[in-house]
Amino acid sequence: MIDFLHTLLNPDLPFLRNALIAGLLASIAFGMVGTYVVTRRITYIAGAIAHCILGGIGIALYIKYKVGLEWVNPMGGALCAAIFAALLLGLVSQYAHEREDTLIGALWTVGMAVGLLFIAQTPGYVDPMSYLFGNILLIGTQDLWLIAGLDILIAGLCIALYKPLLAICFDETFALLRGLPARGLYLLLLVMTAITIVLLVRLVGIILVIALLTLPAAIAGHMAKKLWQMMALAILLCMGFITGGLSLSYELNLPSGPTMVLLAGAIYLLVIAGGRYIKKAKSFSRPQKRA
Amino acid sequence: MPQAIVEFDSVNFGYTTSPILEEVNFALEPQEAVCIVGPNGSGKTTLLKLMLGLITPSSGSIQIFGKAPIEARKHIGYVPQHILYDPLFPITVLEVVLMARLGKSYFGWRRRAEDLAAAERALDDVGLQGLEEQSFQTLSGGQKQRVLIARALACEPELLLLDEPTANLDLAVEFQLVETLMRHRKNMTLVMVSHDLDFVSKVVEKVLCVNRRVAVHRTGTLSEKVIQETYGPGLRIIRHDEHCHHD
Repeated sequence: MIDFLHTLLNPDLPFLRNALIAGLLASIAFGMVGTYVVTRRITYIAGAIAHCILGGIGIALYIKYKVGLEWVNPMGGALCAAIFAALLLGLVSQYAHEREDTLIGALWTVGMAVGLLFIAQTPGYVDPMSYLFGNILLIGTQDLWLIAGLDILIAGLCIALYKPLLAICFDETFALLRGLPARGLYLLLLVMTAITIVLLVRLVGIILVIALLTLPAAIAGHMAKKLWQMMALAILLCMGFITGGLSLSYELNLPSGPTMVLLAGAIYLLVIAGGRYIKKAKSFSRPQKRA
Repeated sequence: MPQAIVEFDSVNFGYTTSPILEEVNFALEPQEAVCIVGPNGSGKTTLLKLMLGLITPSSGSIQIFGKAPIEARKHIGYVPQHILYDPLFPITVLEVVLMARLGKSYFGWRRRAEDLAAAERALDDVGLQGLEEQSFQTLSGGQKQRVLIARALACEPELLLLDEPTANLDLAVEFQLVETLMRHRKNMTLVMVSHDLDFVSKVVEKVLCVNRRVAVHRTGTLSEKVIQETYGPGLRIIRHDEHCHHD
């Protein structure tokens, strides 16, 4: 822990400080969007969007190095793929009579396959692992501004549209009947999820991003009485997992992304087990009613 | 003759090629209370969904307040049979009821005083005053049903559609619901789906017997023959002694 704090405060070593600031800033978007993802029960859709990103990254890298369009950026490709996947899944689930879970599975795997195929055909060596698992320690100052901008956008939308988003997450049919553009709001929610995932993939990678998006919100959901409380608690928990995971990984020389996710997973299991134990204990201590 | 609130004209509907509703014709007048009865799968909920504009008929026309159902939605309150939601959803009773007022105040966090007053009145109406800040997930099935009824009442509707409102209610609460609906009879047209013929006979004067086709009967003329025609010949009708009722 001392080593971690020492490096964090060392002005000549900005990588750990940047990583921590990025993690704390990212927690705001993770907590807010994650709360909607958990309560609207679209974790699998978020997973499919995250995995589709590799397809966008692969195509962008191929265009950049094979076709020679230097201005093409892999993260731009990721953003296009994520928004495309979000809109496709949203429109299919709303309008088409197609099995949603089958489409999620198809997009999930086809996105990965397209990405790996294009990366394999791209000249030079591109390591897909850096996109799959990310590396929070490579975050630069420009990334911090980008994440801060995302936070402002997400927080602004969540505050302005708090009531309608609450309504479509709880009972979409009733929201529609009250004259809300429920389908448009659902698509907006998916696009917000897609943008959050793309920008935060740099921290923990495509595979682990869903854990940080959903686990803090899922834990918070066991304790909160209102949606905004769940968001606030999810943000604080996410900040705790990122700080704790980062310091543990630094002290024990472990990869940072998996350490954060394992920490979040362990606390989630403890909360579920603890909740069940408390429920059981309460039911035993309750006086038995006479017949 | 007053303008019909609900008007079905030669309506046909089917999710696939086989029809669920055939040649449906009926009209409801202001302040009428009607009940839709019929066996499972006969098209009762489909009839409500058509009135709400959630589905469109294969042929024929539906007019609600003289408009297409989608345009008339702001005048309609709806109590679904059940809602699909996350059982751990963090929401209070008041927040659920305030959803009724969404069409009136949309952006931001602030709640308007008139919305709060309408929600409080609706909760009083269903006997849930004092539970405003209670978490919705901790309520019993019957209490949740009453919150959904309060949410529909808070819309201040001119047409109230209820899909099996007594499904989760005990006799005492059902009695309270009868009283609430009777109180609101003067201000709105009531349409409810129910299998509870005892409940039906107390609240409504007209019954729509649905079994692919719709036949309209006055409650007083609802004979065993009509019920058996609707539900099928296998039905056994047992009449309860009047003392079995809720007093």
